[in-house]
Amino acid sequence: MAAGLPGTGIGGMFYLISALATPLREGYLRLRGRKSRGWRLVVALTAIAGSILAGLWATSWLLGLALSASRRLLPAATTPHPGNLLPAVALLISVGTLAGVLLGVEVLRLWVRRRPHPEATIDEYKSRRAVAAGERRSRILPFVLGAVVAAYARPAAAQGATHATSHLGRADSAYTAGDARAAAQEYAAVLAADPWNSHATYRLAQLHRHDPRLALRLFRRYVALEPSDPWGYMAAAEVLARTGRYGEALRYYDDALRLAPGERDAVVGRARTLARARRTGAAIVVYERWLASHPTDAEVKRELAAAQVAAAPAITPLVGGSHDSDGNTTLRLGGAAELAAPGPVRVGVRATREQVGDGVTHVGLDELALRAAARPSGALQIEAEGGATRVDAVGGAGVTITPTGQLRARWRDPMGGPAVDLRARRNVIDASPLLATNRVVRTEIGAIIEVPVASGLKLRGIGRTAALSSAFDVNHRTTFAGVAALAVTPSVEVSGQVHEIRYSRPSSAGYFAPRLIQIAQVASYIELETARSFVLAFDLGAGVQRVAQQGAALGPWRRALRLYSLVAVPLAPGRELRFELDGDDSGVATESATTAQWRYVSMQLSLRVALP
Amino acid sequence: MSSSVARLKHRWSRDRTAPVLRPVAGVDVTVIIPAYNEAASVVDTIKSLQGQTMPPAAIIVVDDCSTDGTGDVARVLGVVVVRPPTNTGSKAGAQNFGLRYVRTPLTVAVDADTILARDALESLLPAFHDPGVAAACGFVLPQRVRSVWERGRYIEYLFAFTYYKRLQEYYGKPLISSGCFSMYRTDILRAHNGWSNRTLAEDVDLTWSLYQAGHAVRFVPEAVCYPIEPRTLTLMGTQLRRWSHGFVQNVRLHWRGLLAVPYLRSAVAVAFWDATIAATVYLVLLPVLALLLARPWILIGYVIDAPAVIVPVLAGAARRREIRRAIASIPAFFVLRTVNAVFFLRAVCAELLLGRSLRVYEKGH
Repeated sequence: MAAGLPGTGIGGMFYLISALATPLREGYLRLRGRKSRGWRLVVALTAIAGSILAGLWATSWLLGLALSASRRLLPAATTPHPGNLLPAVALLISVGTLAGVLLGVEVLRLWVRRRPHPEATIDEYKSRRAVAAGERRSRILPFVLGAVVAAYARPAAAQGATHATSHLGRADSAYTAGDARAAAQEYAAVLAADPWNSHATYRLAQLHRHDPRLALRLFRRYVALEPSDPWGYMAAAEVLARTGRYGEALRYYDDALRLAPGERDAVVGRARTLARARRTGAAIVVYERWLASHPTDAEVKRELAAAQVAAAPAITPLVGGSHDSDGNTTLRLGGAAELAAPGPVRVGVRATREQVGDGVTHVGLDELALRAAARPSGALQIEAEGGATRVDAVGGAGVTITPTGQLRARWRDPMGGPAVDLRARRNVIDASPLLATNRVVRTEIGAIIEVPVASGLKLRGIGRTAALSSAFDVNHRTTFAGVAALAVTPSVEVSGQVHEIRYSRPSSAGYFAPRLIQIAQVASYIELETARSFVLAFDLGAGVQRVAQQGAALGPWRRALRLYSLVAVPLAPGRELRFELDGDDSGVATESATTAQWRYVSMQLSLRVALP
Repeated sequence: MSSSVARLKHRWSRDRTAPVLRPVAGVDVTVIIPAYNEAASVVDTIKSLQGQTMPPAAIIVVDDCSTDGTGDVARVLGVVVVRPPTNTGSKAGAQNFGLRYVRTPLTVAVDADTILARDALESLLPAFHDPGVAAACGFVLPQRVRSVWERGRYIEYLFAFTYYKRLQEYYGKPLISSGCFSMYRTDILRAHNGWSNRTLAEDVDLTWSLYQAGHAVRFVPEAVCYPIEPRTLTLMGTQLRRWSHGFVQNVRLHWRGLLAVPYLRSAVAVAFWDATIAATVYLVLLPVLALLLARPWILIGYVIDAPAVIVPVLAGAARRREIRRAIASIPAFFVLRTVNAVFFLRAVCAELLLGRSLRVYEKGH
């Protein structure tokens, strides 16, 4: 049976993208040492996809020629030449519809997915154990077989109790020897033969810590099988805390402490979870109580100090500046101050003074803003900032004060599922004296939606719309972007990106406003962190861009490069030096650009000092 | 109990005590051939199985109360023929009847109008070295390529099995383990109660059930089979009606469970979207827009994706050295695709909007 309409519709696009993604997936599987289907198949599929693309391009080109010829031959009988409109519209509709359908499936999945019972108690686990051993075996058996065994185990039917025992011995030996892969296979084989084996369940969960979804299922299963063992609750709580489900993690720790009062791992794990949940005040209380009875616990002392630093008020002086290819230079001085934050909400204030010049004209800007950041749950972060920017009198314009601010909400499925980032902001564009003089203000709303489609592979859709108001005009800028990102390792991500930016009209306010900008880039994001919290992050992008001026056709492709780098150096407890470098050789991507060849670099150095 | 069943049981009982007397000296595979009035084609099917490089241990023809002597024809060739007391009413029913007599760890389902390449069984077997694999299927191509419909189907299969199915295999989720030729682990098949007749596409139902139970399914392109495809529009319509209703019934039945299966959920969603929305665009929107807007170039939409079809087809045909046949058949594909769209749209309307679910299993040829 062939379902759907082969070749046409979004199915064609889906399989084309699937084929083009095979080299990325293959490389990822090889890097991670996982079983793969081999490069031969990947090359064959990629070649087919490449040939299809070439064929579609050639068809569009030929159709364009044919339509042009028909217009010349029969000018009265034919309609206007659609040019590149037909393939472009078809492509946009297909990709947009495909993204919508895939996103809809993911949303539906999240909606349908059954959430774990949040109020699970030990008594309930006892009843679950009775259930597990009795009448509801049929429900748990498919869970074990489905979630774990299918991927690893020998055929269930071929297993028996004797097999389980022999597998368990081999599994424990492999586990002791540090052979995680063999141990996982053997433990899975044990569960295939004996799904009620709690030891194998626990060990397998430990071996799958890198996969929190599976690890959590197995630890929950272990808790159901061994409800009187506090370590099961602690292990489940640790996974829950790691995935940002702090409330549930704390309940598991409470259960563990009821079974084993005073158990260090439960006490300290609970305190760590409180600290992660930004309930640092409560975490400090727990740490201090523990140290009162265990004053020599050096690790807890360190964690207490870190929690105190995180909760303490802090100041962050900063200095920064930028320079662009037009000779515009900015110098920024200022700082931020944060109040003490024993809970999940942190409040502060930020003030900066900026001097913008181009060698002839200089303009000063002062910015003052109140800030608040909250983390209502492990999955949701909200940041708000409100204030004003004062622009000095320059030329014929007097001093102006413009309300500015931003609101940002980020949500990420704690189990590695989809993520949403919503942002609204209003700010003064201050990259050149001309922009500042013309009082160019950007008011923008935007969203980023990220959907995981396969192991390590994520699709991101980005949409933004901005109104750019100035002393002369109001312009509108719309941005759409699609990103396919592959996490090669937990700290390295490579991506392919396509951006399209449109301005509704030209502008004489001092920024470059072409009709259309198209950017295609390959990018990589690398984030390295040492045991001493030294952080090094790079976001590199290289590709091509082309620009269509207002009323003109698209120009030729030229290079597009960008770089963002962050270095964070912990100097002492509570003191961190941060250096940020931002460079762009695809200036049309920002409102600050003045031409299509605009280049830009900016730096900022800040020192965060937690006050005693 | 019919004499055939008694004879089969007798054979199996001897089997257990004296392995040398197994019905066929072959690999631990039993082939089930459900057959209803297939006297004209079942002989070729059986002969192709007996001529395998690794012949099966047993071949069971389920004569589903045929009236054309199918059972007798099969019996002459020395295979086991079993006959249910009454017609089971569906292919799934006949296959389940045959499953009762399977004693090997692997079971193969082959349609009575399908012949296999000589090494088809041998090619499928290595897939089961992976203990997680519950089913495997092969490459399907029409046995005869003469009429427009057979040619259209030839291109459709070349396209789907060269491109889509290999991609699905790469991502570990072949959409369907084809009902005309698939191999299964017998214990898992039995655990799922065999083939279900709750939908008209028992192969889709079984494949998706296996995925939801955590099992793997493989596509092995080297294992080739050749079914007889409908040669007339009437027969094609019967088959398409069954397939389209079966697909919609399975989406309705499994959608919740499929959401937990990565890649497959996306593949099914886009297939379902194309079967409904794309079919509407294809059949209604394109011509209406072209007429209303007086823009005839909109009709280019019917063929603008031709390269997306032709490239994989030629790649598949080149490997089989059938380029000329493929090129000559490509126009028929576009005809079949249009007919396909009509049937899928009707099935969606009937099953989901009007609540008229098709329940009667009709043979397609």
